[in-house]
Amino acid sequence: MTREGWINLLILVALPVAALFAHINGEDYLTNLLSRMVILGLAGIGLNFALGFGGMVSFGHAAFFGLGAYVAGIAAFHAFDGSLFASIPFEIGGTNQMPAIWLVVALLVAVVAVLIGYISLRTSGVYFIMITLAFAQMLYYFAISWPTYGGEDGLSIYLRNEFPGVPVDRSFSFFLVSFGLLLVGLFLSWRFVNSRFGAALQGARMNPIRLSSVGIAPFPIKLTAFVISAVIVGVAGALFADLNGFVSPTTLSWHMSGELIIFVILGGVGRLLGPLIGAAMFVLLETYLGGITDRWQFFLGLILLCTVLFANGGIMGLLAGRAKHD
Amino acid sequence: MSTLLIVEQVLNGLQLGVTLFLMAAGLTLVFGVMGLINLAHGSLYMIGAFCCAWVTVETGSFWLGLFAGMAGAALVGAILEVVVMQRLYARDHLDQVLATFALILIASEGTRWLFGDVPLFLDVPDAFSGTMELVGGLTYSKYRLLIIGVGLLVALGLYWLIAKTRLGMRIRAGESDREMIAALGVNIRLIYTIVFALGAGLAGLAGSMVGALSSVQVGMGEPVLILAFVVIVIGGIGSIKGALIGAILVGLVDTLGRVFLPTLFGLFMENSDATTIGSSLASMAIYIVMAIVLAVRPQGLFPATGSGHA
Amino acid sequence: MIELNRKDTSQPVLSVSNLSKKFGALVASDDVSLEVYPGQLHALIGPNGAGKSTLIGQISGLLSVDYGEISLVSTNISNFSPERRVHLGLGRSFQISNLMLEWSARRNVMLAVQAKQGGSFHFFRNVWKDESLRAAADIALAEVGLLERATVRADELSHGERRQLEFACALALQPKVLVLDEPMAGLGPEGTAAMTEFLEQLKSRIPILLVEHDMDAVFRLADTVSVLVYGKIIASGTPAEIRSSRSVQEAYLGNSDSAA
Repeated sequence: MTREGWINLLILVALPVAALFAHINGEDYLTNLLSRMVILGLAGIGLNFALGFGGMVSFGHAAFFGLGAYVAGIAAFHAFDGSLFASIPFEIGGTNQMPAIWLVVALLVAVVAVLIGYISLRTSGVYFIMITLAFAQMLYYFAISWPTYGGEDGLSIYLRNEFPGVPVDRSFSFFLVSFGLLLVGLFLSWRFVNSRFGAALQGARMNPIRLSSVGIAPFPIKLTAFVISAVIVGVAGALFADLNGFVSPTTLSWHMSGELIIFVILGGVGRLLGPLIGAAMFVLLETYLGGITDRWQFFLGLILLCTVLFANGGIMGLLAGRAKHD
Repeated sequence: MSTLLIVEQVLNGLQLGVTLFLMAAGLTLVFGVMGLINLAHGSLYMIGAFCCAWVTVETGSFWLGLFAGMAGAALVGAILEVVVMQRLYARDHLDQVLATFALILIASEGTRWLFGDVPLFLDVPDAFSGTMELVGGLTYSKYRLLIIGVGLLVALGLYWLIAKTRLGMRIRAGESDREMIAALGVNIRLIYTIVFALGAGLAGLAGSMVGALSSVQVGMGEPVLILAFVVIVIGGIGSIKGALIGAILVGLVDTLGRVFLPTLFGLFMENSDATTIGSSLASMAIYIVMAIVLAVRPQGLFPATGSGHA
Repeated sequence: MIELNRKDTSQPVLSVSNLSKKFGALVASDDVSLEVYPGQLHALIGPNGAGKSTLIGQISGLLSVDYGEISLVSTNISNFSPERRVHLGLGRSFQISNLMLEWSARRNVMLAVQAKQGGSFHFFRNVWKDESLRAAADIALAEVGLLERATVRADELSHGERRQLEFACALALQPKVLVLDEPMAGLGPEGTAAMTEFLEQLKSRIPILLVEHDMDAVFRLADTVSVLVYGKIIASGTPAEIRSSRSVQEAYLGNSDSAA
């Protein structure tokens, strides 16, 4: 196995072990921290599929993250008091079952991603960055101005949603569920990247004219990848809402989109576990550096700047060297 | 709905438009000439406002403050260009976005560190406080008229600079063919620094002027930055003319939308619903306009020809 | 126009009829017609700026056609997307080597094979271990003589080897006709000789439309030569006919007989 493979294995074993350790010692705070890393890591992995492997620099993936979070929040909201979300065309109530919520998230996010992607992917370069940003902003402003679900103040989830057979109101169980989804996301990402679709996608990133000249149209490939990435990010958003018991419109903000990109870059673009490392690093900085000073983002900015300028392969690049294949 | 109200809102829209133009002009020049997408432009706006506020308070003169705002932002811009931006020109867009996003964090938190979280207040200079009477009995803020005037003057100045001076000629040449102009022996590095500093100075000017209208605080540049990006996407990246027209369009749509959409919806809806839906739509209005423009003309309304980017 | 001297009278594999294209006031293609027959190599020559690249762009589908028709065998492909034309059998090479530089030679060809086989929307099976792709890719690599260099990254190949790799990809697509855009460009005398021999034996299998400046190669390989000047075909015939044509000499070759 390559060095990168060993590092990946190490991380994937260390996380649940650390959580178990925290659980045994009753340190729920730590377990939640690990859940946070895992969930944000999943979001980053989703983004990496479009950005790292597909070369689509989307500054609007917060739209999908926030959408997932709001679906979880709104579902819980209506499940809590039995009220209806809508009565036309038919009655839509809430639910507090996570698998059902994730299904709804996947479908809704896929539809929105097809719409956004169809318009955005006709552009490229700066235009693409800007238009994805704009779409996310649209959703952000929409959420702020919709008072029923909290508007600017956000929406609280009083009781965490449920997962059949697992007591996810307990921190360790919730961690396991999140970790499970992370593994699913990683597995899909790994298989997709190494499949024919993945080859075409990387071709679309490296040289779309070349791809077209061997007879594969880049647009459908990119759109599909965009949608897949959006769905993964959306599910992560739903988990995030349940972790915090709260949905804030900031999950839709461009700062969130920027954070997602930070996870990918810090960890290493186009590396399978890169975003997980980046997310973990970010959460550690946020918690421990943030505990020391309110100005921790100053240092985050410096670290990020230096990473971009000098350590372009991210942390994984530093640890495992250039990506190898063949 | 009186004509006076409409005219007043149109003027407000113009004022916003002109502010956006000052931001967008710098952004579009930097992208057109150097191919650099700069998210930290909003931070330069903020830095200008802070310089202006601080100097005004220390010296008691708004005009000195205004100059300090422009010069301060331009200076910071020049330093940034030499230390950071020069390394980014050859990089891809992702790296540029990340690096300049990092700069936003550094600038925002750094400013918070220096000045704290409490917003600074900047007063409109006495000479321009209050209102004046315009045609038809409309009274309008003198200061806002000043802003509009300054903005239009800058637009004219930029036009003259780009179209009629040697520097402008070199800028235009650099926009269409970077390698060629370097081969001709023109000091391209210096031109890049000048262009960047110019854009920064304009942002600082915008921040300083608007700072007196509202307040000077960390993060004030971000909403303006996003709007400025929408402007240059609508107007066409690399085009000053596009930036001006796009800015005025966005300024008008945003201002008039916020004022009149709720009223419009109030015509056939319950008042509270009307306000909610109207305001939501108003905040989304410019993005919808942008999406429509891009759907019809993916390169924007007046794309600069031959930039060879994107 | 000088009469064509065909070797056989079968149907053309590629035919361009009355193709016209303008960029504003600039006429890039002016009523251009030409045919490529099975077993033959049709060379297109002309001074720089004559419109050769624009013509190839229209044939491959990257540029739109203002007027006229392009047919592959008997199908009118004038409005088809570039990808669809490739699937129908239109192969091409690029003037500037256009490859996936991060990938090995083998992977580059495997992508072409994958495109030919279809199935780019398969998500689970590992592509790089796919035997069918690998086997077909290796056949193409062997044909151009690159099999020993199969695992070398494309950006580490020499200029000539990259040309060979482009051919391997083009061949892997099993084209019915090949459109080659200055394949000799940048090759030294040895490379040119090797390429000329390669094309000589290739043309009997796959008809070729060759755009080239190297006159030795053109006159050795071509069955038909067409001369393009200012977007217009001013002469078309056998190499001998073209060599002796006064109008061609004036417009292009100059009054001496030397190669360009």
